[in-house]
Amino acid sequence: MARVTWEKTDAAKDFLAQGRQTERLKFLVGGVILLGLVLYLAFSGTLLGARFFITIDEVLNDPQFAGQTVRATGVVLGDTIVIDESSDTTIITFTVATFPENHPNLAEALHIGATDPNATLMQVRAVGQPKPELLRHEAQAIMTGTLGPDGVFLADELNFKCPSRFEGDAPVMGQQDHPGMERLDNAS
Amino acid sequence: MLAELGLSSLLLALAASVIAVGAAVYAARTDNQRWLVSARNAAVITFPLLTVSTFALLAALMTEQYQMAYVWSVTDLDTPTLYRFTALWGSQAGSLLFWTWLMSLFVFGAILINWGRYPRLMPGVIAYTMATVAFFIGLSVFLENPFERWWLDPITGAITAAALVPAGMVVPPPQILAEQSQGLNPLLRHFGMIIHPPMLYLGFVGFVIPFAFAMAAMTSRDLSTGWIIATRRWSLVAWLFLSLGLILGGRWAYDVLGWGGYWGWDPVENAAFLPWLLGTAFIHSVMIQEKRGMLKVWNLVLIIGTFSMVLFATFATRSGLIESVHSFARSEIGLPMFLFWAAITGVSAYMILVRRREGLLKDDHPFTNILSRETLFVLNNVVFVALTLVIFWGSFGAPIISEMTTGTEVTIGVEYYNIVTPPLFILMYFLMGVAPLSAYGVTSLRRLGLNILYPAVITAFTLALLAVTGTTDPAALVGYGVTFLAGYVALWEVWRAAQARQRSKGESLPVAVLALFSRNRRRYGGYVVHLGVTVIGIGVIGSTLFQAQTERQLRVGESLVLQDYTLRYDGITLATAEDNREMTIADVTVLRGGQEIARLRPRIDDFNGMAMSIAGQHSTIENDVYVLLNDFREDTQAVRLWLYINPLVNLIWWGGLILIVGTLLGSWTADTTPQRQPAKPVKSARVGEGVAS
Repeated sequence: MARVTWEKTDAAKDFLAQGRQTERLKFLVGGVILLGLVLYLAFSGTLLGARFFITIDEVLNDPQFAGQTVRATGVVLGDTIVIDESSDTTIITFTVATFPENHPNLAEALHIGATDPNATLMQVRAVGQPKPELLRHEAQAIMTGTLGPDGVFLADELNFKCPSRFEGDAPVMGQQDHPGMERLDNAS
Repeated sequence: MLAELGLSSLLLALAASVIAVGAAVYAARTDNQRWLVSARNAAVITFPLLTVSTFALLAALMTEQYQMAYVWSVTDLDTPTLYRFTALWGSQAGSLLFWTWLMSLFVFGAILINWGRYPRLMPGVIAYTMATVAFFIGLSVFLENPFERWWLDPITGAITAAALVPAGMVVPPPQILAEQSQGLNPLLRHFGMIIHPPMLYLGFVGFVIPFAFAMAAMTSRDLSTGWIIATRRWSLVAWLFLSLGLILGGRWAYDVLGWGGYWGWDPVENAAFLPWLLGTAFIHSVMIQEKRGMLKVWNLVLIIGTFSMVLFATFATRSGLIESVHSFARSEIGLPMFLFWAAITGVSAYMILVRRREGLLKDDHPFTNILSRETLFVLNNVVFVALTLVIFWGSFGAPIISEMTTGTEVTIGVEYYNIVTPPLFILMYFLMGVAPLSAYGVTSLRRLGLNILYPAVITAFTLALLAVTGTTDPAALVGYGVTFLAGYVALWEVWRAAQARQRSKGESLPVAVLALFSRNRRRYGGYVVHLGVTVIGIGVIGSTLFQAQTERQLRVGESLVLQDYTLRYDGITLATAEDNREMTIADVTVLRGGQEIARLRPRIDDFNGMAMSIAGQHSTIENDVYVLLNDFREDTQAVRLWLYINPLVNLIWWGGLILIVGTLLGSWTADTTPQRQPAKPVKSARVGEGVAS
């Protein structure tokens, strides 16, 4: 019995190769469009969503951030906190002092910031936000918003941080808890 | 005693894992089976050793061993038993041990199950998995040791934590340690926290198995589909746990963080989402390699990318790189973790390049048609990768590059994600709908159009119905359109196949559907997963675009109105819970159309100065009435209540449940084990000695 074989003619081969090229072109065009879309989205999103995380001094004094939505941090001064709940919308105002940078201990940094007589101060106002549980004296405020023409920072978003008793410390022994300390005290 | 037991087991586990790596590498280089058996034994013993360590720590938590610094930092005298248990993962050191233990469990299972089936891959699998396990045990031993104890210097009164007794130091008075113990962070005292971290960890660590098989395949040059078949279930299981972890994390945020939402595009949340995105792409694209022998490089890139993202997420969460509600405190493990991540990613990428150059990763077929199923799968993969890249850029890329180039830190707000992700999610849902209707090889536009006709018509009808009933927001209609299309296609495919069975076999519809699911669980389980993702999508669109919210200060008897709901404030209850937290509870009644539908008790829990708002919720499929107590004034007994109406939010949790069922169905397939692999010709004279199967 004769063996039947089928071979592609040159014309068929050319046709297939041409088809593959067309498909490849489609893939290429599709890929470029998708890549362009992603890059455009990422670029425009970054422009709109990027917030410089700056100090209070920069918010108040650096003209490049004027009118921009920025993120800033400061130490809350407790006696300036006013929460107006008389209307339908809560209005929170308080003043923050410069937050000392690069301090390893949060509690100490907050205390230094709150008691520094030379610290820059900035008034903050937030409208229509829930009363933050951690808004208190010597809390670290992390605020997103814009500096108004009156020098008051209008915060769209407020976050607060306090030294937590749930993080990091070690137990402390009083004199009565270890005889050695007593001996040392007596000796001196 | 428990500290000594846990520490010695941990040290032995470290030794065993290092031996496993060394023996596996030596076995791979010399083809010596006895060394491979040694490697296996060392790898397998690591899990029981870590089990002893983990249970020693758990026992210490349960029995209030406050001399152990970890127990002291995460529990106190008031901690209930349940939270003593969850305290195991309540802070860095314990959580790291728990994480490593889970990883060793996966490795233990994978080695025992696959030992006889994939002998050529085993040296690589053992080497890569155990190197990862050894690294994490090393972190526990040297940098975050959960078995450190407090020691008192009797001369100075200084207290330090150390694993071994420092010279001249004594045990501090136990009652002082107990009184000063810190207790569990209140944010972690929630039912969701019992399940969310273990699920997330299981999802993370589970991907070490497919990663190790992929690397083993490249190392052994056995780049057939064996590694894919071997890891299919492991990938699905890891993906399932990761999905569960993300959903439960969302639920925890919704219940505990008190802002009415479940996803805030927080960098650490995003870090957990990134491996999920790449893992999802991987479990889709492996199907193309199995069926058509294509996408070999792509699949390797995806699984290595997934595991790389797992390591990066772990680094980001545990190093203190990002400050977040989800992250641990700043830690010394940051640098070693970063170096490990960079090394694993770099070595893996290099291996792919080498094997590609050697011509071992050539696809069996070229892409021939832009509408073929494989092309649409790849396109969907590209969307997943694009989502990964843009989310990575927003969470880590832009802040890090800005700090490096300008010296000013930049954070990317939620606006970025609201612009960037919706078009990609729309494309993802659209392709999720279209791809299953396409055929492998070649599909014409006409055929694809005919296949999609009925689901498209039903989708159009649904959208018309929505428009008529008041949903006219174009963004919502586009979102619902692609989401419903994906869901209808899944249902249509099941319906069409069941109809065909009814015609050919004369079966009733339920019998035909059951037969479909029992014969091809992978495919139809996949459709159930798609249905779950559809339901989640509907919930996300509804709760994001149509959330309504108001707030007001109320005195007893006063009401607050939002849409057709009325919230009446009935009074306040002050109470102290068993764990000594002070609770301020508002009693409120929810009315709709004048009819009482629920009584809610939103509250503020005060944990000795750290307060948390716990919402009162009335949940239905239609919406959640979500009430937060924001403030209470003792003088007037007035409260400030925030009321949210979150439409369709519960569909997210229900969709998650459907997704889980679908994944379980899909991974419960008939055994697809290939024929036993021929063992590689062995140079050593000791061929086959001691090989167990």
